[in-house]
Amino acid sequence: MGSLMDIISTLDRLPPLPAAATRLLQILGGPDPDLDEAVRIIRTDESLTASVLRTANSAAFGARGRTLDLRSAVVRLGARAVSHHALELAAAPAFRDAGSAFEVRRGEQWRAAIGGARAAEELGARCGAEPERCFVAALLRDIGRLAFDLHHAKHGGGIPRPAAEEDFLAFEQRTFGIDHATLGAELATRWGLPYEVCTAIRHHHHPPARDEGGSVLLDVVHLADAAARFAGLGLGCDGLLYPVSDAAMDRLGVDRDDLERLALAAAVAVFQLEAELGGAEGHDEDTPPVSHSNQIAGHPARRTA
Amino acid sequence: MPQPASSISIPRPLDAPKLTVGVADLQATGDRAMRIITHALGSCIGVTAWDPRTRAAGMLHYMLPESKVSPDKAERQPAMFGDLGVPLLLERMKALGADPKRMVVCAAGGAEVVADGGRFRIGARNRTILRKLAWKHGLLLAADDTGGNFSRTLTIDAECGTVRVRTQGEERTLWAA
Repeated sequence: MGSLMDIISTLDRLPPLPAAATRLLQILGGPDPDLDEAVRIIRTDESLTASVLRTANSAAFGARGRTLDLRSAVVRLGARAVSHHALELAAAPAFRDAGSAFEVRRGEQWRAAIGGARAAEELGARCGAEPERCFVAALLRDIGRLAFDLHHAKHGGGIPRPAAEEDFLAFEQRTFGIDHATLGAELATRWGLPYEVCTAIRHHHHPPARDEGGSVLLDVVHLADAAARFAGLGLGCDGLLYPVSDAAMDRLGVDRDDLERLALAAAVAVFQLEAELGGAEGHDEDTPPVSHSNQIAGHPARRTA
Repeated sequence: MPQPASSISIPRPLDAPKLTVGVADLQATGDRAMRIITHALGSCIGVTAWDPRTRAAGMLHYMLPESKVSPDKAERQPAMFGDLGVPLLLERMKALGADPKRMVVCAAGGAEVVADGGRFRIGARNRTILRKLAWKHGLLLAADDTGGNFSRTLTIDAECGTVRVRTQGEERTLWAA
């Protein structure tokens, strides 16, 4: 199965994010994010600009006329929406195959990243946290899984199975000597992301109390992850084996109905983005995009053979 | 809890045409060559319906029990909610000539968050709303595989009505004629 050092060393083998994506993450994840600077960075990346314009021009996004350049897209959608779209699209290649070590279907980890990020943005805005930073931290919260994927690809073997009722992080620590939250925080540190974002990734399943280093950001990312899970996003063999912190809910004044509404928001965000992308991003033949035959007009059920 | 299922199962080729039901989605078909599948049932519930005479088959994948938590989303996406999705599934089945009295209904999913001290119980509430609606509409819940903490994949074969559940790498027949 390989040693703990093997797993940690996989962090060095992970392909780096595109330079524009890394810079965007650093700006949006930092204090007082400069959205104008974020837009300037998007403009320097031709493929990212094209992707943003594609979604900005999609019918699902509600665009009435065609947006021909990035400046018009920013005017129409706002710098925040454009920046977040750019990050979602930039993250897609990294997440497309993520989660395979734990039977997460292809493309599903990206959907979970998007759903969680949008939920965190919404909850953060409500709770007085910086929405950009919440978005970035939640988007990247499961990047540690990439290390397990590479490790599994190298060593092979069967998919390890957690016991019923076992906290999945404890299972990872028992099986591999380390968990994906710790690996993710380490990877984010190597990418030069702000300390607060790295900390939120590290604690996204078990946010500490305020007097133990906790913060609104950590609670927001934790609950956004739970909301995404309730929306069925990113489920593999880990299922629902992550506790939801009652203390985090109490600290933020979030009740059960709030969390359910957040789960709905996470799901709808993913549906909309998939509709904007034509349902093609991050799916293979056996994992088609959600068909929503009853929901989104013009997004027909997919029949495969 | 899992119910005992018949040992009879008619295998279908894996390349048989299939409809995939997403989260908060519903599909029904009168094409008996079709399989219907849904993935990633965590706390969500997947409901299958099958009429042995017409071979119409349907599947719903709902997230939450009651639409009152978000009426605006319920209006746009009724299949998100059990209280709206189940009647919608019945309507779609009836439109395909299915008779609720003959219908075989099965369910899977409804898992709970580990160490849930009773605060959420989304899985349990999803299961409860299904039982209430089954009673209200005179449906017989033939078999179910619900609860626990793991996610499930659910399939139904329109030709024979066989329902299968896959969880933690193992597939079993939940119901077969």
